[in-house]
Amino acid sequence: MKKRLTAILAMALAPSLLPAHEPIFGIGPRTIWKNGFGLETELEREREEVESVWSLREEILYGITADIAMTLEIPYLLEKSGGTGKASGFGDVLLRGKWRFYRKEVWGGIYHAAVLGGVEFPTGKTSGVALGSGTYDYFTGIAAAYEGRRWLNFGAARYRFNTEDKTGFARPDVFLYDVALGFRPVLTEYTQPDVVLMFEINGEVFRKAQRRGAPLPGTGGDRMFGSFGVWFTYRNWAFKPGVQFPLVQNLGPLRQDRDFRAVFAVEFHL
Amino acid sequence: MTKLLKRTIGLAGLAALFAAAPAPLSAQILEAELTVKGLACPFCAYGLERKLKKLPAAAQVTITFKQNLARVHFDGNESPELGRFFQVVRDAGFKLEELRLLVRGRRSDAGGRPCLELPDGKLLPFAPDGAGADLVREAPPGTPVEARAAVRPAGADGGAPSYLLYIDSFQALAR
Repeated sequence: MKKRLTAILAMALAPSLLPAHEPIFGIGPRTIWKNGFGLETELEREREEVESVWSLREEILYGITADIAMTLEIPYLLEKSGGTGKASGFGDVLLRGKWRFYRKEVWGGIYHAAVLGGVEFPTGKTSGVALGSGTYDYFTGIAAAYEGRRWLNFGAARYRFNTEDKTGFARPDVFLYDVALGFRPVLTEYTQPDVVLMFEINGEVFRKAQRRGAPLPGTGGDRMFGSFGVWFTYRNWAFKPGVQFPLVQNLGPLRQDRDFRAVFAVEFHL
Repeated sequence: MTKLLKRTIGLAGLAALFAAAPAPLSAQILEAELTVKGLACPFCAYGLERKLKKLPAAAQVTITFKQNLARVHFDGNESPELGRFFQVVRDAGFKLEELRLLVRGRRSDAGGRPCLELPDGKLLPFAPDGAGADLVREAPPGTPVEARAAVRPAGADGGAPSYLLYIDSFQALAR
């Protein structure tokens, strides 16, 4: 029971990454042009004490307008291992939208902000080593940024509502916040490869898990990570490696501490 | 040696003949310069390049961040509606601050207003009181002309937005 709870809590806390020119572990307001498509493949490695996950995420981004974008995310867990064995397979599919409601262009930069929302479908298996939550979960949030030629600043806040599964168990709701600073050491031109260094602080504060509406002791808490990543982009191609380490973890006895998380993403816009 | 001399003279004569011929009125919008403030990164500007390449007769698109400029070279007998430039930049997620065109056509009149008539029949009206308006009035209707001009919205004309050409340079071409 404790192990299952731990595994479920882990999934509840896994933040969703969004494609486009954005922080690697956080999120930004950037959308894609009208009728534009973006494809992203993301290889992710995560270790939490006894649990280890290798996963792939396929993301398809579509621009309904230049300011409204939809993303479908299909996670595939290559290997998830922990105290109860190993498993692999599809995780929970996520559909999300972004509406960039504010945009102010300045010379060589842009200030913009967007609201976000999404739903996660219970497509991953929940028996044995669980790959999915077994519930429909929702998130909403806001992201804002200044993206200039030399410096880039991002800030975002999201709230994730987790619903009850068939057994009456509800994973904790999570508040996620991100602050990111980007620096472009060399101001390249359009036809040259572009490099941006990204430094991020990613935080998660979560409420208590519940069973049939009653808070469960030993759950809840918060943690904060420091992240470093690089954007390598060349026109419509982006390569985004990043690594994340814990700064503070205060999660209670039921939750494993995260050792690290690493991501390598390749994104292509067409 | 004599044969080579004759051939050289012949080629030179042919070249002189072409040089003396009037400039053909083959192209219309030759080049567009779009000033886009928010250009900051290649990954984000790619959508703009892609949209601009889809404009009718667009042959080449170059983007320079230093100048916040996208430049489109056109080649062909079609020309995009002026509103398309604004629409395309908007659809790419940016705002078009300024549009400048290098156009070639015939001096024409429409409703008493001096215009540039493109070979495909489009009429681009000149601003009546802009710089170079006198030069336009002096050129008789039907004269082939080339102009470099800024394009600015002039309000809605029967629902569709209309645009005026504000001349940077204007010259009559040899007929």
